[in-house]
Amino acid sequence: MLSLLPQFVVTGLLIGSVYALIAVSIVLVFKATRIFNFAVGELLALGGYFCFSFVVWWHFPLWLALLGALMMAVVTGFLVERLVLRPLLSQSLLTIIMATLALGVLLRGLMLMIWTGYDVAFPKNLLPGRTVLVGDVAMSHELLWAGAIAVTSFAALAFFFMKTNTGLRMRAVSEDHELSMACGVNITVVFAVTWVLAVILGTLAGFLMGYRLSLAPSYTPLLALKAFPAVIFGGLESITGALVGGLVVGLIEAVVGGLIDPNLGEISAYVLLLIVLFIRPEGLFGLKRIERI
Amino acid sequence: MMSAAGRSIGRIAGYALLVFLVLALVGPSPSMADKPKSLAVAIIGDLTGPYASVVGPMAPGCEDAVKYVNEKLGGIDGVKMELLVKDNTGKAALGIQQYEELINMKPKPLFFGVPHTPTAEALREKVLRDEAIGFFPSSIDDLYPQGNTYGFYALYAGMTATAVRWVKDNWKEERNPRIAIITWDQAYGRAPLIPEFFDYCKKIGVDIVAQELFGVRDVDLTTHLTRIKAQKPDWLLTNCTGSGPVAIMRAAKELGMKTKLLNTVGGGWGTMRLDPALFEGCVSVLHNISYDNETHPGVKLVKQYLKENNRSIKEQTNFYIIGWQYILMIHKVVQSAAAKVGWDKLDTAAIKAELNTLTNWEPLDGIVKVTYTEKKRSSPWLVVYKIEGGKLVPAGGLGGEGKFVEAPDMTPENFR
Amino acid sequence: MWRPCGTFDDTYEKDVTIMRTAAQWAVTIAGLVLLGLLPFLLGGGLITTLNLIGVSVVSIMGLHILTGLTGQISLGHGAFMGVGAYAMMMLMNLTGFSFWLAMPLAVLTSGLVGLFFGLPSLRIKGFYLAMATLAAQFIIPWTIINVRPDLTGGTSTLTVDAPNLFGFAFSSQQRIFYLVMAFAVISVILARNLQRSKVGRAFVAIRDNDLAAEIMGVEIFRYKLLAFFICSLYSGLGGCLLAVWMGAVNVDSFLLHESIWYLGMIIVGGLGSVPGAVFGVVFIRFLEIVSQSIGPPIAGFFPDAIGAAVKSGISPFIFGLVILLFLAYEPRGLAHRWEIFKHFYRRWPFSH
Repeated sequence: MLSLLPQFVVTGLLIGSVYALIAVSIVLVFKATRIFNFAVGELLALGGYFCFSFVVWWHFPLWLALLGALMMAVVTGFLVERLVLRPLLSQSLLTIIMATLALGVLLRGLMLMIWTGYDVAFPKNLLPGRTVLVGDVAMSHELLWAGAIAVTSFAALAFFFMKTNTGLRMRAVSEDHELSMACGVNITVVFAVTWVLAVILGTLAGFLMGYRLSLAPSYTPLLALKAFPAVIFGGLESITGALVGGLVVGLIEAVVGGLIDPNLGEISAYVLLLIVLFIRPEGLFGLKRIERI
Repeated sequence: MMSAAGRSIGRIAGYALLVFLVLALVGPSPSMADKPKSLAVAIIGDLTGPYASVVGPMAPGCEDAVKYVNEKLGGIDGVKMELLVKDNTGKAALGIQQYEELINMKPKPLFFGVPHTPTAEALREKVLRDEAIGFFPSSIDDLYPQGNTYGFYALYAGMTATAVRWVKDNWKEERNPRIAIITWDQAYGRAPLIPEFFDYCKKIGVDIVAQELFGVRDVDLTTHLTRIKAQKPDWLLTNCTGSGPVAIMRAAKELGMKTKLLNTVGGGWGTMRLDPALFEGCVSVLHNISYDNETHPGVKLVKQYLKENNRSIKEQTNFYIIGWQYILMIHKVVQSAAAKVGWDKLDTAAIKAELNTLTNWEPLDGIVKVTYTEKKRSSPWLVVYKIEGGKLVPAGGLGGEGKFVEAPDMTPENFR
Repeated sequence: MWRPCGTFDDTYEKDVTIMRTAAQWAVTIAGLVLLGLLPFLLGGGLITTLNLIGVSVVSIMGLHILTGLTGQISLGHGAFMGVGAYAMMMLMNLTGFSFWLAMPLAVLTSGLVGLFFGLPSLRIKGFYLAMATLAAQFIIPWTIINVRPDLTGGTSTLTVDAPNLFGFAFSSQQRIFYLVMAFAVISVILARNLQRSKVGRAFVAIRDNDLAAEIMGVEIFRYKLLAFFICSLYSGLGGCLLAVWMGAVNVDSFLLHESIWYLGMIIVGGLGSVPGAVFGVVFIRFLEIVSQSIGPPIAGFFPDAIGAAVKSGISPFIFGLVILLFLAYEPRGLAHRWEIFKHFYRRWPFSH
C-alpha cells in the first residue's frame, strides 16, 4: 500500500483545495461579523444550481455561465445580508447563528421548488483536458481545475485584502467593530461585501462539486461538513489557517483513508482536530485573545 | 376597550374548545356498511431528501395509477381508492409521526408504501401491530421475520447475487472472477452485505477481493478506487444511487480503470442520466422491463400513461412503475379477497392470503412480474440490463436475455 | 422577581418555594390533570407528536443547563442521545435487562461519555468548544456503526421492547405518553431547581464571565465538567425515551442535523429560561409537522404548471421563513414574550 502514497497525497491536496474554498468562505464571515454561517452548504449548492441553469437552460458557454453564477452570487450575498442579517444587527450572536440555520432550510425549500429534488448533472467535457499521469500518479483534470480555481481565488482574495481600500477596511472591521466605526468605516457596507465574497467562494465550490458529481438540494449542502474541521484547524480568525486547514483535512482523509481504511478518513480528521484543540485551543493560526474582566 | 375585546375572544375560544372536546369525545362513529366508501392507501417516503431522484417518481406513479383505477376501472368493485402522500424528507422520526397520524384516521389506511429504509425498519413492528400491510424496500430488517410487510422487488442481496451470477455464468477464463464491493456507508448501501450473499459468492466461485465503504458526502473516491485497483478486480459492485455511482465511475475512469460497475435498482434511469457516457458498459439489475425496449407492450402502455398525465422525462424511471405496481397490486388483491370473504369480513389476513398466493402476476402488460409466498416476501423476478449509448439494453449472455430471471434465494437461514 | 400583589414572603421557606400562591397550585394541578387526560381527548397522530415533544423536552433540559446556563455551546447533543439509546438497547437486547434497570445504566453511560467530551472545555472556549463537541458528533455515530456492528446493528434498525411497569406495557403511543410526560415533568422540575441552587448560580457566573467567576472562587473546570455531565445525563435519558417512542433505534436519528436543531430550539425559546426551552421545543416540533402538512394544500392554490414544483419545496420554505420572521420580530426568544404576557396578565386590567 505504501507505494500508493504519492497518489493519496496528491488526491488529498487537490480535494483539500475544494474544502479550503468553503473553509475560507466560513472564516471570512466569522472574521468580520463573529457569525458562524450554518447556511454555507445551502449557499454553495445554490451557486452550483445557478451555474447549472446558465449552462443547461440557457446554453451559455462555461466561462459565461460561471461569470453569470458569480453575478448571481453577488446578488445573493447582498440579499442575504440585507434581508436576513441587517434586521438582526446588534442581536445576540446565537440568535444570528440560528438565523443562518433557518436561512439554510429556506434556501433548501427554494432549491426544491426551482430545481426539484431529483439530481441534476452538468453536461460533461465543459472543462477541457484529461487525466494527467505523472509516473503512477493520476491527477484528474477536474480536480486540477478545482485546485487552479481555488488557488486563483485565494490569490485574488489576498490581493483584495492587502492592496485595496475596501480590503483594508475589512481588516479593520475584523479587528474591532467600534473602533473602525469611529474611524469612519461604514460597517454595514463591509458586512455586505463580506457576505458577497463568502457567497462567491461558495458558488465556486458548489460549481466544482456539482460538476464533478451532481447537484441535489439534499446532499450537496453536506459538503460543507467537510469544511468544519478545516476551519477549526486553522483557527476561526485566520484565512491562511482555513486554507492550510482545508489542505490538511483533505490530506489526512486521503492518506489515512488510503493506507488504513477509507472509512477512517473523515473520522481521523476529527480526532486530529480534538488533539490540535488540546494543544492549541485557538487553532493553529488563530489569534490568542488576551482576556480581561 | 381592551378588556371587552379580550373577554369576547376568551368566550369564543371557550366555546371553540368545548365544541372541539365534544367532537373529540364523540368522534365519528365507525359505520360498518357492507362496502366502505373508499379505500385509503398511503405512501410515506423520502420524496425530497437524499433518495429523491430514485424514490421521488413513486408518488406521481401512484397518483396516476389511482386516477386510472378510479376513473377507468370504477374503483375496486365500486370502492374508490384514496391516496395519502406524506414526505418524510428522509427522517425516520418525522415518518413515524406521519404514520401515527395516518393510522389513526378513520377509516385507517390499509396499505403503507414506505420507500425509505430506516423509516420502514422502524415501522415494521407497528404495521404488524396495527394490522396494516406495508410495501417496503427489500432490506432484511424490513421484511423478516415474516409479518405484514412485503418488498417492492427482490432482496437487495438477491439483486447483487443476480448480478454476480450473471458475471459468473458468462465468465470465460479459468480463474474465478474477482469482484470489489464499494458502497454507501448507511442502511441502504449496506443492505446487500449479509452472510448469505458472501456464502453464495463462495459457492458459485466468485472472489470478493475488496470491500470499501464511502459516505454520501464524499466528493472524491480516488482513494477508495486506488486501493481497489491494487486488488485488480474484474467488476465493481455497489448498492447506491444518485451521485454515488457517478463518484465511483468518475474515480475509476480517472485512474484509467476499465472495470465496470454492477448496480441494483439504484442504477436505473435517475442515476444513469446524470452521465450516460460514464456508465457505458455498466450493469444494472432492475425489477422491470427497460423503457428502452420500445416494442414491449408494457413499456408502450406505461409511456402512454406518462404522456397522458403530462409527466416529464424525470418521472420516466423504475419507481414510477413501482408506484403503478403498488396501486394495481392493491386493486387486485383487495378485489379478489373481497370476492372471497365479502367486504364486511375483509381483513389483513384475507388480503395477506391473496398476496401470498400471488404467482407470476404480470401487471401493466408484463412490465413487471410479481410472486410472493408465505416464506418469501419479496418478488424474485429481475432483469439484467447494461447501459449502452445511454440506454438500458439486455446485458446479453446467459441470464441476460432481457427476460425475467429468478434471483437466488437470499432469505436468511432462520426465516426459510 | 415579579409576583402578584399581596404575596409576601414572611418565612425563608416561602421565599424559596416555586409555588407561591394558591392560584399557582391550582393552575399547576389543573395543567397536570389536563395533561393526564390528553390521550383520551386527542387523536393518536397528535399524541405521537406530543410524545416526541416530551422526549425533546427531557433532552433539551440538558442543553438548557449546558448552553443556556453555563454558556458552553454543544453541537454533539444528538450524539449523546444516541449513546443513551444504544446503551439501553444493547443492555435490554443482549443482557435481557428490563427497561427500568437498563435505562439508568444507559443514562449514566451517556453522562460519562459526555464528561469525556467535555474535557476540552478545560482549555477551549466559545465556538472552538462547539467544534470540539462537533468532533463528538462525528466520532460517536462512527463508533456505533463501525466498531461492533454485531452488537449495535451497524446502520440497520434494531427494535426495542416496550417498557413494562407492573404488567402495564407502554406499547401504544397513548401509553407511552404517560411514561414520557412523567419523565418530562420530573426533568423540568429538576432543571428548574438546579438553576436556583448554588450549582446553578455557579453555572450562570461562568456563563456571564468565567474569569470573574474564577476570581470569586468558582472552580470553573469542575463546574464546566459538571455541566457537561448533567447535560449528557439528560440527553441520555432523552435518547432512551426516543428509543421507546420509536420502538427502535437507528443511528440516523442521532446525527448532526438533530444536534443543530436542539440548539435551535433553545435559541428560539430564549436562552437561560426553562419555560423558554420548553416553548422552543413545542414551537419547532409543531412547526416541523405543521409545515409538512400545510405545504401540499398551499401548493394546491398554484397553477398546475408550477404546482408540483412548489409542492416539493414549500414545506422547508415555510419552516425557514417562519423562523426567520420570528427571529426578526422576537430575537430574544419565546421566553421573553412569555414574560411580557405574564406581566400583562398580572397587571390586567390596569395595564398601560
